[in-house]
Amino acid sequence: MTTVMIIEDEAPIRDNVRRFLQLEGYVVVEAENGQQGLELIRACLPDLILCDVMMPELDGFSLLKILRADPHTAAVPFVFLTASAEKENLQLGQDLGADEYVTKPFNLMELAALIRRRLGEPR
Amino acid sequence: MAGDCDDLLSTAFEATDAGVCFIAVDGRFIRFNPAFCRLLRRAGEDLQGQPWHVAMPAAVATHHEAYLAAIMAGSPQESSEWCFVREDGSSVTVQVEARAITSGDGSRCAMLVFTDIENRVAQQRRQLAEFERTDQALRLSEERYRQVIEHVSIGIIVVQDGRFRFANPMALEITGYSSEQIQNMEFIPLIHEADRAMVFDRHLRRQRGEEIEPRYEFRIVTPEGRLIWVELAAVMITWDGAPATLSFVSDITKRKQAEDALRRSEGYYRSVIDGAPVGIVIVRGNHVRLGNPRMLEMVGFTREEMLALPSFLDCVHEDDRALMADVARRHVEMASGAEQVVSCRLLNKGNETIWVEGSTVQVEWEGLPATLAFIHDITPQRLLEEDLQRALAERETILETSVMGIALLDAKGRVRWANSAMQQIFALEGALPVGKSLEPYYPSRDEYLRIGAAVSAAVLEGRAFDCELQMRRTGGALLWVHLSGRAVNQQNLGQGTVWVVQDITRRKKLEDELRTKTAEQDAILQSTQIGITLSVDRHHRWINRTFADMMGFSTEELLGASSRIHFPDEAAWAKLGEEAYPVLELGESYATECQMRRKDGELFWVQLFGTAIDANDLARGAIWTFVNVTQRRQAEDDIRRALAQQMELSALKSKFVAMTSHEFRTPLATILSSSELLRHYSDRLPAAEKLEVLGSIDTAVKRMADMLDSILMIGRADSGNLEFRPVACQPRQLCLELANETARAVSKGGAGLQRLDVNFTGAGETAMLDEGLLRHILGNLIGNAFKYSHAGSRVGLNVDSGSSEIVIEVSDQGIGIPSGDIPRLFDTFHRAGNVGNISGTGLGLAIVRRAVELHGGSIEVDSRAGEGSRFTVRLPQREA
Repeated sequence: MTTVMIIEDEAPIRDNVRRFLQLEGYVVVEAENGQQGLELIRACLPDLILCDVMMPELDGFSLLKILRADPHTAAVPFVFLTASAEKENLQLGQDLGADEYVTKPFNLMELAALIRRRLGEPR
Repeated sequence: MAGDCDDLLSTAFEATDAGVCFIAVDGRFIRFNPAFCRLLRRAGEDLQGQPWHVAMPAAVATHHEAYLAAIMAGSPQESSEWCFVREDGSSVTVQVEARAITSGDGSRCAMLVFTDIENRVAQQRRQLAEFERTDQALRLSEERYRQVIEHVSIGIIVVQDGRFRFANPMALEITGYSSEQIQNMEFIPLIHEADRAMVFDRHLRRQRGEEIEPRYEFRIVTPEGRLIWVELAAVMITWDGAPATLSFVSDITKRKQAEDALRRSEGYYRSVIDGAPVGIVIVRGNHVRLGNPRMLEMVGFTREEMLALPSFLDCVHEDDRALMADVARRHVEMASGAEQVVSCRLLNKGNETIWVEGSTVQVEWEGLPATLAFIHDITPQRLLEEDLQRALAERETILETSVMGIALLDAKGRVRWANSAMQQIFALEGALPVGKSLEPYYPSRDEYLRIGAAVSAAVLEGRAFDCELQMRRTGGALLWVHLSGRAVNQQNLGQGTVWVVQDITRRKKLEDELRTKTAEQDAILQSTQIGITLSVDRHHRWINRTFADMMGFSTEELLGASSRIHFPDEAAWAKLGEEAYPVLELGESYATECQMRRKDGELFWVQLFGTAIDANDLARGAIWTFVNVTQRRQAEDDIRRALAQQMELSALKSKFVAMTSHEFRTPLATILSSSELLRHYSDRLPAAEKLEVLGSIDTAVKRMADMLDSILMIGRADSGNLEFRPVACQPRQLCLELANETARAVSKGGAGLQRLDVNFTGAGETAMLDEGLLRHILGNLIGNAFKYSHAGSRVGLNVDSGSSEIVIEVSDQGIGIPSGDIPRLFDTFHRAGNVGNISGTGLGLAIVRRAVELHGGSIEVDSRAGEGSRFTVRLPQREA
């Protein structure tokens, strides 16, 4: 079973993404901030991470930096879901080693395709 | 004769006070006198034939044995002190003198004479009394007096009427005459020819009673023709009732001879000659025989070179050789000791001319006549003299060619002498006429008389007269002159006055021009809008009116004042000085803008320029200009402020755009994901979940609508279009409803599990409030309290409804607000620095403030970062 993690402080979005991923057949692990997310990643090591940028406790960029610095988690595909369309943020995400940068509002079908691609699954 | 003598000796031996004894070679007494027995207090029978030391302790006797043996051996011994012990035990100290005697039969014995020392003092006193008696007798006896005179070692003579009346033996010995020869002999012929006049002269003067040195020296001639030097001291006495001269004469020939010997001594001469500060030279037969060190120094030759010269004339200047040859010639003709004064030029070894002055005298040198010369080098004086001559000549020239007119007037003011400059000054064809007054050169007779009176007054007081006045040239043209005069001799005004006249027309003209120019410049400087000062050592020396006006002082107050008074404080004044003066020192201008203070304390901005008058000498001061730039500064400040506002606004706009983008995208993401879930997975979603997804769309849309409301509301408020529509309501009821509504909305949004404690106080039942605005106030304050607090913490709402105001207080235990953010907390879009990733628009509190202000109320915040916040809103209520 493929495990996908969603880290998002906005509950309605987190709920919708969880529903969508479950319906797509993934095991979903949820976290409502970066700190909680980091703990869960270390606990279950997901196959892919979807993560908001602006969150309380620990933001998305900081979390990514920690993950990439840790050989245990460095290779986990990491996809940003962000409300910010600023180019600087996009660049920063890429520099830190984010695999994808998805701007809110996003299309669930496109997100599904992106996840499959990242996980190396057939269409 | 011999028998008489023996009797006499025998009597003396028996009668003398001294103890005398004779001791044989074997040490036994031969004879002793009664005084000896008395001394030892022994009877003569006891001593006769006894060893001589019976009266002495053994230890002493041994020593005396040796003494006696020495005497016997013929070695004379000094007198010594012995101590005898008598039979009765008393002792006596005696002085003993001993001598060996050979008696008539050829045997030797010793004679010892003992004198009782203890009795000596008494004895001496006795002797003195006796001597005094003898002396008295001697004085009384002229005979004895004469004996004294005859025995003294000084010659004594009495001369009366030019003849000897008395000469003592010593005088006879000195003069070489017998007493018979000298009696009544004339005194004068005795004296050496050369000294007769002098002695006779003294003799006469002494007779006249004049005070003369009583002691003098002269030579006498003995009958054998020997010259004897005598020293004579004479006094007037009366001899046989008539005046006479009593003279004491000593023979000083030996002393004189010693002196002469000394005088002739080579060494003595040498030291004088060598040390003399004058050049000494001896010339004999044209050859230099001696030259002292000073002489050699003068001509630069060594002693050998000097002595080797073929002729002394070789070191005489060629022009003076004839003269010096003459001097030498004359000496040959003159007597020994004759002196000539010479002044000539010598040539030194380097052929330089030396001026000398000196005297030459004919002497005997090594038995032959020679010329001795004493020479002073007077070259420096000569040079000085020449300089003086030149200076005098120059002064003459100066007087004559001076641009200043110089004139000498006599006591009546008539010209006695005038230089050529006078002639030029007054445009005369010839020299200033001698013997005429200066009246024609005055503009008028009155002026002439007036100046004349002033001059007289000054001269009489001993002052110099000094003035500037107009005079007249011969052509009639007026000119300005500077006139100064002084008496030739202050004590004698009859010697006239000296005048110096200087044509100052040109200077006067320049002064006039300068005065006009200065007036013009002053007018310009005074009327300019620029404040100008000349300051020296930071004190005002000159200021223009504009500067005084600018600073609010009067010109008089500022002159001499320190510039410190124009600065807001000491530090500002000091700082300007430290910055400006190094620049001025480099000769550059210093420019700055700074705040200055008027006398009334008002501060204003000036643009300041400073320049040193002379960068090499800052003591000459600096020129400072001041332009009041307050208005320009204000305009600049306004522009700067406006620009800052504009930039801030622009930044806010960017912030707003970023914020709205983020805040809108989040609910949009919810809506889009919900609609897609419903579209694609509708069949696989349970009904309850479908409803929840639909509900999330509603919430998101509402959130967006609220956000738009807020933005629109701020826009309306900023443009003054926000309406205030108060209605009568029950504050308690309304607040409770709105609080619950907010708490619901917050918990629905997923945030917070905080507890809201609501507390009402106050008796106000009804109040006039705008419900819509109150919803914004409570909604935002309570919403923020939840949003910025940790889960489980407490949020409090206290409402105090009074008759004059309603006080709403919302408090939390959340993250608080940093103090630096509080002043701008209610500004549009401003969010505190510690919000982190907690989303927000920065509009809530801006809206709260506007809503409170529309109620005519106020809002306060009390918060500390990390501890929580309390917002207090006061909404006033009008009675009825």
